[in-house]
Amino acid sequence: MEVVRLQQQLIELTNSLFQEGFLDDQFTQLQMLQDASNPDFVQEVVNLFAEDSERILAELTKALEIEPVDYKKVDAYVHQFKGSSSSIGAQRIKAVCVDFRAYAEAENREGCRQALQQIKQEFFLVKNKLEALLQLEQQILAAGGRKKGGDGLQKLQQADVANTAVPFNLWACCQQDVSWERAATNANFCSSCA
Amino acid sequence: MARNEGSSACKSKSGSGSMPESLACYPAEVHLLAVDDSLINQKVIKKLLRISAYKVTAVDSRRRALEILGLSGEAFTSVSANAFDINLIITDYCMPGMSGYDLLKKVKESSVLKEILVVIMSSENVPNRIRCLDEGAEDFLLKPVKPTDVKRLRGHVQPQSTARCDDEPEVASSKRKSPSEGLQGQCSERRPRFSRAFMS
Repeated sequence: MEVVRLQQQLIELTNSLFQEGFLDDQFTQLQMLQDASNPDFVQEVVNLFAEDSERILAELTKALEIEPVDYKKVDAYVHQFKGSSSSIGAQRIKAVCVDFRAYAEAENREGCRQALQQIKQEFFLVKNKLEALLQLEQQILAAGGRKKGGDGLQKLQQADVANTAVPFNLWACCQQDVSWERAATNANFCSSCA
Repeated sequence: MARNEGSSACKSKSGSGSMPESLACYPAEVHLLAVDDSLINQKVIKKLLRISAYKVTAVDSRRRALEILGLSGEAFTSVSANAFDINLIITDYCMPGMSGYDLLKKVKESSVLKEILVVIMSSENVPNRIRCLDEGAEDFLLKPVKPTDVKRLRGHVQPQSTARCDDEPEVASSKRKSPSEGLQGQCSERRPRFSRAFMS
């Protein structure tokens, strides 16, 4: 069945994104925030991130080309980029930003240039993978499957009031109910399907 | 969230002039102002807060935040100050121009606005936290902000009681002394990092 094949692809892609360190738990948090009132939330955040990043990367390229280099400006841009990549869970980009800021503080132009190159590579990698992931989700929806995520926090909120554990969501892989605790372990798919 | 029967979420604030926008009937009648120059962070924070049933207004600069608070331009009057009835400001620490710390100071220096809770978000921990808490910040959150942080915010902002409709700062502060919430920093497990009581 088409949906199952697509879901399997989605599982593999998602797992590799997390295992290879492209994404961290923050991305999972974003997926959990998506709900019926905002079903394209993750897509919108990814789009914003892509636009914002392209802008910052262009500025950084310019800033490192002029003489003399304004390292404070460079640092400010990298700080911004670190912040936004951290908000989306782009872990590897965040790590390069840390190195980049160290080079900027040391006013090491060559180091900055290399860091910029690395960041560009990482950005394009994660952008492509995220686009593939979102596209797969759309295809799954179109083929009649379900999107993972959504309503989880509201249920958690209600659960707080009622003080009981509630089902967080259905796994995208096999549509089984899972508890909040299991979802919070950062597993994206249930153990029998993963 | 528990609904407050008799709350005046649907009435306009008495005595505070015309409301620029009508408040929907939010159960908690809590209005948060989020300040962050990053559109991505704004979007995520807005979503995080709205999912907890808060009304959220997001702006991208201190200047805009001050306009909303009624603090910019000519000397504000008590009518314009806090016309949007903001209960809590959650602001990024580091921003071009005026920083979150400066905004915090401005709010705390204002006799009308100082009751508004201010929460700072920052990607850096010490020494920013100490500085902000000393200046009267209610809490200090490390970015990226998580759902558990938002849950903590709930502990800071009591759902509005009917008394809040009178729009008096004294009522707001007496509301905050409610023992169940321990908003004066007694609830150590909720806010282990809170270094001083909110009410100085």
